[in-house]
Amino acid sequence: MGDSGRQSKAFWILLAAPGILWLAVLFIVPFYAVLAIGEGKLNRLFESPVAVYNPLNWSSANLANVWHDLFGSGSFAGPIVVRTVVYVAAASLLCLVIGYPAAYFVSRFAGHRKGLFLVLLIAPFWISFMMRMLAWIDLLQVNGYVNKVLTSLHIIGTPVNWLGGNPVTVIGGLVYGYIPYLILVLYAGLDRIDPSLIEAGRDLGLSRARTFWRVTLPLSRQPILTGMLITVLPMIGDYFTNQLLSGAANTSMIGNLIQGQLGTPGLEGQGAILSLLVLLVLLAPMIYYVRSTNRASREASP
Amino acid sequence: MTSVSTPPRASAPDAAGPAAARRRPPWRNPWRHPWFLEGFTWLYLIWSLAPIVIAVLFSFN
Repeated sequence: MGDSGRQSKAFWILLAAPGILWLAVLFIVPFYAVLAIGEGKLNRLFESPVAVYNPLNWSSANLANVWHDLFGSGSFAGPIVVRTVVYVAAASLLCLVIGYPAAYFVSRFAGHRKGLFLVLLIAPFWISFMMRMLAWIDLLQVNGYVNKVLTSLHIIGTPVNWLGGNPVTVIGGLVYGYIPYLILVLYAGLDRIDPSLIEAGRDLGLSRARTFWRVTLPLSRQPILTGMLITVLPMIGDYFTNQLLSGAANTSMIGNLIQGQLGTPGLEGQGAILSLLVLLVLLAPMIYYVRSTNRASREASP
Repeated sequence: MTSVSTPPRASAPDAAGPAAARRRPPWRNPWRHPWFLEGFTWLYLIWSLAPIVIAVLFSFN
C-alpha cells in the first residue's frame, strides 16, 4: 500500500472515530449495563438490582420470570403485547391514510404556497410533545370542548369520558404525536419523484387514479417504508402518550409495563429483560428496512 | 418504396379547440385543481395545530 493509500485509510478512520466513540459511549455501554442488570441478581435486603458484568456469573431468573409473564399460564403480559401490536398497527395505518394525501398535495400541487404549507407541517416540531398531549387533555375532559362540540352537534347524547381508559383516545394520541414525522419523510420522498414520469403516464392515456396506482404509489414505496419505520418504532416503546391520555390498565401498552417494572423495587431486572426483548423484536423491521434500502439502491444504480 | 405512415388525426375534442375544452365539465378535466386533496390537507393542519392554539388561548390560564 502506498503513502496515499495509507493516508486515505487514516482519513476514513479519523472521520468515523467520533461516530464510533459516540456509539460506544452512549449506546453499547448503557446497553451492556441494562443487560448486566437484567441478567444480574437481586439484593433481597434492599429489593434493589445488582448488576453483574461478568457473563459467566449471569442468572436467568429474570428471563424465566419474564418468559412466564409473557407465555406462561395466567400470563398477564401476553394481552398487553397483543394490545400494543393492535394499537400500533391501527395508529400507523391511520398515520399513513391521513399523512399520505397531505404530503402528496404539498409535494405536487402546493405550487407557490409550498413554503407556507411546509412551515405549517413543521410547526408541531416547535412545540414539545408533552405540551401537545397536555393540550388534548384539556380538550378531552368530560366538560371539555370536544364533548361540548359533539353534544351541541347531537353526535353524542351524553359527554364521553375520553380520558378514562378509552382505546380510541390512546390510538388518536399516538397518531397525533407521531404523524408529523411520517409526513415529513413522505414529503421528502414524494418531492423527489420526477414529475415527467407522472406526466408520461397521463400522456399515455392513464386516468388520474391509474397514474397514481401505476406510477406514483410504486415510486413512493421506499418513503412509505421509511416513514412507517420512523413512526412504528417509537410508538411500540411509547408509554408517555398512554400515561397522559389514559393511565388505565385496560389500555396499557408494553412501554407502560416496562416503565411500571422499572419503577417497582425488585422488578427492575425484569423491566431490563423486557426492554431488551422489545429491542430484539424491533430489530426485525430494522433489518428488513436496511435490506430493502440496499436492494432499492442497487436497482437504482446503473 | 418505403411507406411513411401518416400521423393519426387528433381526437375530436382536441381538434374542436379550446371552446370544446371549455364546454367539458370540470370533473372531466384531467388537469383540474385537486380541491379534495387541498381541503384534506387544510383539515389535517387545523387538526394538528388548533388543539394547541385553543389550549393556549382558553385552557392554560
